[in-house]
Parts: sequence; C-alpha cells; structure tokens
Amino acid sequence: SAEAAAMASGMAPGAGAGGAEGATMKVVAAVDASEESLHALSWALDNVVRPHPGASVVVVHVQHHADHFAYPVAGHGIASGLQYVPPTAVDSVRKTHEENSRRVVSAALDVCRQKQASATAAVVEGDAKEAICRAVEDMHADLLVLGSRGLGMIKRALLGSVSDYLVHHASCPVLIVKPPNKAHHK
Amino acid sequence: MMAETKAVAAAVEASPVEVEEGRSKTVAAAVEASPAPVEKGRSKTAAAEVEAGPAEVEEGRSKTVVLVAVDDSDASYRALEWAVRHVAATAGMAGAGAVELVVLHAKPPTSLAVNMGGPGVSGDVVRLVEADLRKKAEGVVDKARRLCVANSVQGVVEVVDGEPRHVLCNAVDKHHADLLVVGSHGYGAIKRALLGSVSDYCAHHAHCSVMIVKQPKSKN
Repeated sequence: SAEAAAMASGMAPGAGAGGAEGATMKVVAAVDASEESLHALSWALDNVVRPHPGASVVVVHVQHHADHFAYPVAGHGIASGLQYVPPTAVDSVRKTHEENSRRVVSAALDVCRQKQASATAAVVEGDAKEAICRAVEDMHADLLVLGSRGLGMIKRALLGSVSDYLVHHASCPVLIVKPPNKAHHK
Repeated sequence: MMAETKAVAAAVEASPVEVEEGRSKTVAAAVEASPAPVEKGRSKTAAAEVEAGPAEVEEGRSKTVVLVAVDDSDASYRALEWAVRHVAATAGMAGAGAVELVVLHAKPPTSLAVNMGGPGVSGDVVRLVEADLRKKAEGVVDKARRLCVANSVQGVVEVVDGEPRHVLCNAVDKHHADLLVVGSHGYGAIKRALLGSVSDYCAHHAHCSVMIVKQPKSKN
C-alpha cells in the first residue's frame, strides 16, 4: 500500500481503533510547509477536536517527490530536454526533501503539543491527494483536516483541486479551514 | 423582478412552525438569481432561546456560531447529527464559551424546481410544486427541531428562500458563523458537474471553515 514511513515522534497513547466517533476520535491533518496548514491544524484542534477528550491526531505530510533520473532542463538552445542526473545528485535532492519533511512535521507536532493533543506523524510519498486519501483509509480516520488552499506544494494541481478531490473521495468527513484573513475567526 | 420572500425562524422548543409561503412570483422562466438573504422578523425572539450575547468578539471565550445546512436528504441529516453532537460536546466542555447552533434550510426557488421538469408548465403545476416544497421545508424543520431537543441542544432553525449555495454563504456572513456544516451527496463527478455541488461551492466561497460530512463508505 502506501509508502508511508511513519515517523513516530510524538506520544500516541490512544492511537488505536478509530472507528466509533464518540469513542476515540481519530484525526488526520494534512500539513505542508505553509503557515496556512499549520493554522488549519491549530484551528481544528481548538474548535473541533478539543471537545473530544482522548482524540488522537496524525499529521500527514506528503513529501516532495524526488524524480528519479531526469530533470527537465531549460535553455541549452533547443527548448528543454531531459538531462540525466547522476544518482548522487538525486540523493542529495532527496535528502533535502527529507529535511524539509522533518521540519514540517516537527512544526506540526509542536502545535499539537501546545494544544495538548496526542499526536503522531506520518510522511508519505506519491501523488498528494491519493496519498492522503489512502492514509485516511488506512488509519480509519474520523476526520480529515485541510487548509483551504489544498497543499501548496503541488504545483501541478489547480488551486483547490486537492481539497476538492479529498472532499469527494476521502472515506471520512473533511474539514476545510479558512485562513484568518478570509474568515471571521476570533 | 424581486421575489418577495419570507424566512421564518422557529425557536427550537417553542411553538409550531409555520413556514410561510415564499410569495415568490416566479413565472417559469426567471429564476431569482440574486438570493435575497431575507431577514427574519422573529429570529430575534427566537434567539432569546439561545445564549443571547453580542455577536462581537470578546477576548478569549467568545461565542462560537455553528451553522448547519439541511434539506430533506439523508446526507444533510447526517450533517445535522454531526453538528448537533459537536455543539453538545462543545457546550459540555469546561470553560467553553457560548456555542450557538443555527440550522438553516434553504428552500430552493419554486421556479428552479419547476424548470427542471421541462418547458411549458402550467400554473397548477407551479402551485403544486410550491406546496410540495413548503411541505418538505416543514418536514425538514420539524426533524431538525426534534434532533436538537433529543440532544438537549438549543438552536435556531431558519428557512430561507433562494438558491442554497448563496443562501448558505450569505448566512455565514450574516451570523458571523465560525463553522459551516454541510452534507455531501456523494454524487459522481458527472452529476456534480451537471447539478453543481453546493458543498463544493461552500467549501470555496464561505467565509469560514467548512465541515463536509460524508456518508459512510458503504453507501456510495
């Protein structure tokens, strides 16, 4: 199934069966490097998760995908070609992505800690919307939390299409959190 | 051509609901495009049932407004259940601020319903459809009230005429809602494209966070 490397760097006392809503609410929050997704996580914790004691949170980050062997290269006279990239370069790119992921996850877990929410993290790869969808299913989530601009790092996707996809395909309710300037947030 | 519409707010435990006729002068053609977010005379009194605090913010614990959209579908009933349970849980939290629940039924304009039947519709049909819509609205309101009462949640139930997507987004602004809860029909992509998706529209345009409550996977 999903290439989900679960980096458990938080406590997860109640990270068990997530089925019944009343029991232990299992929340999946998709995060990326944007302020917005951290705000979404924070808002969701304050407003939707807090009333449910014992709820557990999994922050899911879709890691930038390091293309295998070739990068499109501009210039060189003839309009772009593919340039073969030596494995060492791929490695170093991958390491950068992993470093980014660590940072994102760490920031998200900090937010959870501040709000006293028990949380773990998972870093997945692949197409963002599908990866998150799979994670939600695999973890039997009761709720998926997204920032409203979808995942900013997906440059290919149209604005909002990741959240659209997830709204319709996720196997659980979806909460789309608006950024403070758009909302009447208090 | 302005349609005269009226919206009625009903206090949850109080008197019987009368859903007044939207005296929408809709002739088959013109769909009232601009939704009239109608004021409800009685909502103020109804709101007395709910913690009547100023809508404005106080530091820290201010009133949270949850707005849930209902129609006569199962999907929206599930959304209502979620909203009611959420409000009940929130209200029960120690140190929680006031939570207000607003249940909103957007009654689609008669002309819209009639148009979908095809051209050349007689006045009788319009009346029948109108009556049917009204009856549906009453049913929806009733069901909502009962659910609130069953969960000891106080809330305001409103019926507003107009196209749901606009009615909902306008209501969010009007009530300064913090959260809008909608159901999702689970339509396939094609149906969504043809019929439009209210939940999609609201997810993008509402000025607050939006909670989309899905059907359990088994249905689809």
